[in-house]
Amino acid sequence: MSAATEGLRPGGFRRAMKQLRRSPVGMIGTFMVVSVVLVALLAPLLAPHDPGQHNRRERFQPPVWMDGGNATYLLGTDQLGRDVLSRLLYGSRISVAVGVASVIIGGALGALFGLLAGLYGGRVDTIISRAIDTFLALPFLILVLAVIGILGPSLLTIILVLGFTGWATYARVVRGETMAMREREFVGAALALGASRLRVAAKHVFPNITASVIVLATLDVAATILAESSLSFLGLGVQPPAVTWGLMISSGRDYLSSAWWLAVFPGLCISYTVLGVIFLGDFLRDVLDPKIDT
Amino acid sequence: MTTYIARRLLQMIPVLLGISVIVFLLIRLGGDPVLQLVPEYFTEEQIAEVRADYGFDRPIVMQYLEFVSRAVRGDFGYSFHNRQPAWDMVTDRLPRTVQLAVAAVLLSIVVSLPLGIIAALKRNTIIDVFVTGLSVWGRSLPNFWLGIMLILLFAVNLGWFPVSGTGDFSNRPFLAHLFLPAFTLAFGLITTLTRLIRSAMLEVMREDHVRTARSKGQRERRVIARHVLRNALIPVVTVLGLQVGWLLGGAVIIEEVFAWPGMGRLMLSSIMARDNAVVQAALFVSALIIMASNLLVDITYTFLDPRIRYA
Repeated sequence: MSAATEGLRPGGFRRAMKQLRRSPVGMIGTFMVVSVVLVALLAPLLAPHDPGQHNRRERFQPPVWMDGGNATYLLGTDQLGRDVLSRLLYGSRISVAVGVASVIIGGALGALFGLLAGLYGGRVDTIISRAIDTFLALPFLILVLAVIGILGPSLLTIILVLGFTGWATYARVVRGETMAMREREFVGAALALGASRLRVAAKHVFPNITASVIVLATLDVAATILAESSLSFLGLGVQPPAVTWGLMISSGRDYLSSAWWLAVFPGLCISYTVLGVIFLGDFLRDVLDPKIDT
Repeated sequence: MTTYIARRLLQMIPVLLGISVIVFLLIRLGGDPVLQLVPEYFTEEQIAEVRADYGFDRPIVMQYLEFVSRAVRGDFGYSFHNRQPAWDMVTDRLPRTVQLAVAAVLLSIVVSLPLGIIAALKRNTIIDVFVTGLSVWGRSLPNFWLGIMLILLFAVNLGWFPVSGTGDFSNRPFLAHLFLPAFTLAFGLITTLTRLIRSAMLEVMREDHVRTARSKGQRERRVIARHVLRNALIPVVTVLGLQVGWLLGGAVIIEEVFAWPGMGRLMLSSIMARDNAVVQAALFVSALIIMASNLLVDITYTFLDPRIRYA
């Protein structure tokens, strides 16, 4: 059993927690990610106002610390008098949902195809490898934009498209690791004893490459959150009345000189979330030490 | 060397075929492509006429073969909206995107090279912590937001740069127009390259040949320039090559933020207008650029590192 997978075993959980306590980056990353997930889950309880409620009399209220600001709207209001803080809290839901769900889809698909290619080799490997090369030669964001433009933007479409177009990176890494694993004695022994390839994949190979997939997936959550915010910014994300940070920046940029807070705060929220995920991913990479280039 | 390039070109054929399948199927994802083109008031006869005009009435395999045979000649059909050849529209706008991308790459090298070197040479000092921290934070910034913040600060408040547009290529305002979008596009690359140069330098500095050079009494500056930096640049070339796809995707957003009339902005407006021929042409051109840059990276290796022999 490699050191990489030891941390993933039940007995290794305590060791991982111990390492987390020793790592400032890991602690900060975990705190940031947990705080965003909690905000997303508890948004209805935390938000002081209805995020979609218009209030024409309260348009462009500045944040509380500026002249003319008031405690009713801590981070001010937008062009329709909606509370910016409440919208930011609700905006976290789409980011978290898209980030996690898309990565699960992409990671699962990529791991499956990578395992198949690495384990079966031959024609299966050739076909899957060419498919990986093809997807990696297409500009990810442009492909996603084109597909969503044709299918139409909705939460489900965005999750599926980001997931289905993101599989190739996982497949490449898992394929490489599976091929290396196939050369190991215990895998050869299991095959020689008559175990089916699927059983070998599930019982022997996959547990040993989980570390790479987890690290890759964590860092991919960061990239997916950025991609989702870009889609929303360009008008191809989840549509109103749903609230997304990218959409808030997009509508806020028309009022940059008079109401800077409309575009600034959502950007800081995206940066905070992505930074937390990156810290957590870097910590996991150091703890699990998979041999992948992230 | 020639054999190597020929082999790499041959390997590109199946990938190109794969890309052609994806680009071909793309417009069929949303259902009947003809119904996406025609207005709702069209009668059955008119729809059938459009279907025959565009060849959508033939078997799908025939349609694909026709698509490929035309695509290799740069014929992706006509834009549904302004009746121009889609390929011409894309290639007309491409130079603007190339200007932006080249400026971004140059800027990223000019900024990240000294930052990465200083961070490596001053390892574990406050300078290193600052540079590394900045490059990690930079990874988390959405580029469109960064662009807007730069517009707010340097264009709206300080008035140093124009808010958007391109200016005239022949005069100085062109560079003023180019700087903010190029810097915004470069920013992500700067953070990546800075970290990479720092870690590559630290790794090479531990190698035996560097120790030998030092023990021979060579000056530190010469050791860094001739032995460390040269070897540390190999991963930089790889990453620069691999970032071309990312640059093209980023260009779509940056061109939109700064109203830069490049291929990305054309692609975005075509996606919004469901002008499929232009979307297909732009996607195909982007994939070709990525494949060409990957090939270029592989060839550059042989010049940078004499240990690598392919032929």
